[in-house]
Amino acid sequence: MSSAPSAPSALTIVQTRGLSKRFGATTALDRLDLDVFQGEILGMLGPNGAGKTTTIRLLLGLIAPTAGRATLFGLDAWGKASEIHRRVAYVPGDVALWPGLTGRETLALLGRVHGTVDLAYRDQLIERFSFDPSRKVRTYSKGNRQKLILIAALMTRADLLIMDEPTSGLDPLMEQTFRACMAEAKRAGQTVFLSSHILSEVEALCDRVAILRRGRLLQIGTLAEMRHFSALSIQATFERPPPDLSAVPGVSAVSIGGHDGAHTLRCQVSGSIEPLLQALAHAGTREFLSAKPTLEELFLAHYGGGGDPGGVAATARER
Amino acid sequence: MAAVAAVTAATAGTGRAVRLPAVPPIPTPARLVIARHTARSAMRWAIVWGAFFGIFVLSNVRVYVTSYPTLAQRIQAAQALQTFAILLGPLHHAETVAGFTMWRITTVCALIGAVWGLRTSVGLLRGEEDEGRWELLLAGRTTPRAAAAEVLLGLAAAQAAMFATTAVLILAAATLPGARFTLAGSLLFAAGLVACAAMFLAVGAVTSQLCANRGQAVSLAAAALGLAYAVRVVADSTRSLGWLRWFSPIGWIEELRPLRDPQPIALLPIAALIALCAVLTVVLAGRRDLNGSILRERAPRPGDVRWLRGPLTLALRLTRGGAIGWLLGIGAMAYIEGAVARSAAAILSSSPAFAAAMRRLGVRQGVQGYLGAAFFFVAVMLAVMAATQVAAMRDEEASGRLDTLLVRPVHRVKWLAGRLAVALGQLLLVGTTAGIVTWIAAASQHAGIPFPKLLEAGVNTVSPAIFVLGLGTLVFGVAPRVAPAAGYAVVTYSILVSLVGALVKGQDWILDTSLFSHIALAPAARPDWPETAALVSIAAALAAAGALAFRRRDVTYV
Repeated sequence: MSSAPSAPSALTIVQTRGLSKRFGATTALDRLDLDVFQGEILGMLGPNGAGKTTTIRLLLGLIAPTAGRATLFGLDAWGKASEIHRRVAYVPGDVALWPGLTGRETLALLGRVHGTVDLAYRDQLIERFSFDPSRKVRTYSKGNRQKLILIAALMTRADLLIMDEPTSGLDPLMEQTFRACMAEAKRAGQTVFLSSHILSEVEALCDRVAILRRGRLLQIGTLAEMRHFSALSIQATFERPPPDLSAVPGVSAVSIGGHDGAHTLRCQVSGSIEPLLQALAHAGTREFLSAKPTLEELFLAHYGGGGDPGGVAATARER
Repeated sequence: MAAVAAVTAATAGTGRAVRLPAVPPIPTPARLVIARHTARSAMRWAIVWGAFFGIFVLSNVRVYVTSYPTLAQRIQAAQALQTFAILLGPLHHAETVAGFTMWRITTVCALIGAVWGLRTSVGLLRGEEDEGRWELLLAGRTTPRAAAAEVLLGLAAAQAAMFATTAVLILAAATLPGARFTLAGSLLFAAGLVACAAMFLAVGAVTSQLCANRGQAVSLAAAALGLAYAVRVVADSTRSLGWLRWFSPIGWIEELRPLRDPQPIALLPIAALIALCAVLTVVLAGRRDLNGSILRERAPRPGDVRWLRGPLTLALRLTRGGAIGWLLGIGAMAYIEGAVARSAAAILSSSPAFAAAMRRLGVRQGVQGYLGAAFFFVAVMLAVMAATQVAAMRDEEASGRLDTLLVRPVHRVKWLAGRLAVALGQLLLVGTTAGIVTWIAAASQHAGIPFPKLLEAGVNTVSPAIFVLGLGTLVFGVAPRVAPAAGYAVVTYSILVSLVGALVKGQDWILDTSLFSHIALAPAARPDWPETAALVSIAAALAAAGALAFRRRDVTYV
């Protein structure tokens, strides 16, 4: 039974190897290899249907893998689910609670079911999220339900926090509170696995980012590493129509617009920027802006909206 | 003209008013969208049940005419069914096809129709509102009143389809040899069979306005149905109380007597009730907030969370309301049966042929005979209760609430075992309460039946329900989506087989496939404990297999 092929190192909290899930003919997750290390915040990005929630449900042992396996704390996610869950707290994106219970009753129940609760921290969280626990769950808005389940997860101070789009429904103020709580969790040495499609959130919080599409892991790395692999964004303004850049190596996603007599060019450059600078040397450039791509732009590069997402994906897979 | 959009877009931010491009109206402006949507949602089952009612009539006429050609045989057959007197009410003109058919079918169809009706209208009104879909509709060009009126219209369309289906099949039955139903009689019969569905569609629409959520609205409407039924039972138990029938919707249907000396005047209170409920629904719909209720919901009590300790106590808490409802319903039923047992038994035993039939069945007569039939009905109700428990278990999973527990250190099998233990406890509680309450009521009338006998009779009613729970758990483990349907299906099947099977001669094996054939008619007969033990053992094995399957499968919403 206990034939772990390669015992994960003490610092690996979550490990998946060849983790796959098929629902009938659909492959929701295809051979995912992933490690989450202690104390880090790993963000998982992907559009709807990319397999984020499937991954999380596999990690939580709610569904069984079709192939491969996932281990949390070195224990099999499917076979040892209830043991693992002593050390895990989970925040779903779509919160399902018992409408007839009050907020306070729900917190009491979930705390007791989990087994360990930092009561002082719980009361502090209720305060910070300005949450009213005296009402019935039925009467809570989506944001309030989200607060309730966040408090229920954070108050356990679990070793691993698994969060599936945890801020959906929260207002910007509460989002700030959430980010502060995440920073505290990190300082306390807790590990966080965060799925999201809010890029700024991932950018602000995560140490590493994994990008998932159609059940496949496209890329994983720190933000610095991912910037290195990706294009630079260029915006340039000209006094006259700019030259044709389609033949310049490394340039893609060229678009030209403009008003008030100026011509604005936007494009992306991968690899060396030298060929582009040479092509524009005598073009009458009035303004030249270049920027590291934001996560938004990285994301667009993978999921379309300019460039060649297939090409980037292929590159990512080759690595 | 094509440049309008570009021009207005270019003026953005310049301080001039921006005109958005006009959205062209859709080619066919839909009228009564909500009514159509409602009709579509309700139509399928309306037609299915309408067809069921009609086919029930057809098969009944056919079996009765071919299997019981002589008068003597007919009286005998009718008396073999006297165990159902509680369920069906008194039998008049058993020797005629018309009299027998009305008696066999009317109450069964009334109850099925009422349950369908209240569940359907509450689901399409309060259920849609709970799910947040109602506000999508109200955000359109409508008002709460107009929308509620449209839903009623849609329900009326579904109801008309149900009537048409039943009527066509009854007219077909009228052409069978020996049936001899008149055209007017057939139509009135069809109207009577679907009238209860119509009335409780309307009642459910009102409770949807009164209560704050679907569960409460269904419970309130079900309580109204229970009251209507209880009044009918009292009215039928004593000759001098016959006038009480006019105070029960189910009594009105009985008073229609469509195929023998019809009383179409009984349609009047039926129509009046429906009209009153429809008006109330529309008026109340405009008087409350979205997701609000007319009846004030009691504010949650703060504080005491000590006893909410884990999955088991949570299961108790979640099922408490429903269990109390069943306890009150079945308890009231048992009290009435106990209280009327003496006078009702006197009516039954005035027929010597009935007495002879009961003797042949090895059944004691008099008060105990009557109570045997009463407890049979308790067993049927408990089996339905078990089916609702199975459905509630699946609902916990389908809604995603089970996830909330299972992502914490809660073992799946322990959760399931907890739910089953709570369900089992509640079934036993309701069953024994029925026995105790019947004894209290019977003792107050000096019926002279010892307490242990009735307590035993109460416990005896639980085993078919336990079987439903076991079978439901197996299906929950193997094919969770169909678990609720499977529970209700096995109960419905057993009721029908017990009703029909008693008429089919020489085919005892069919009767044996009904769950209710495996309990003795205590207190009229001695409980068959070995058979009960067998049924419970099989149920336990099924539940264990279900738990094993549940441990191995994915948790699924759909």
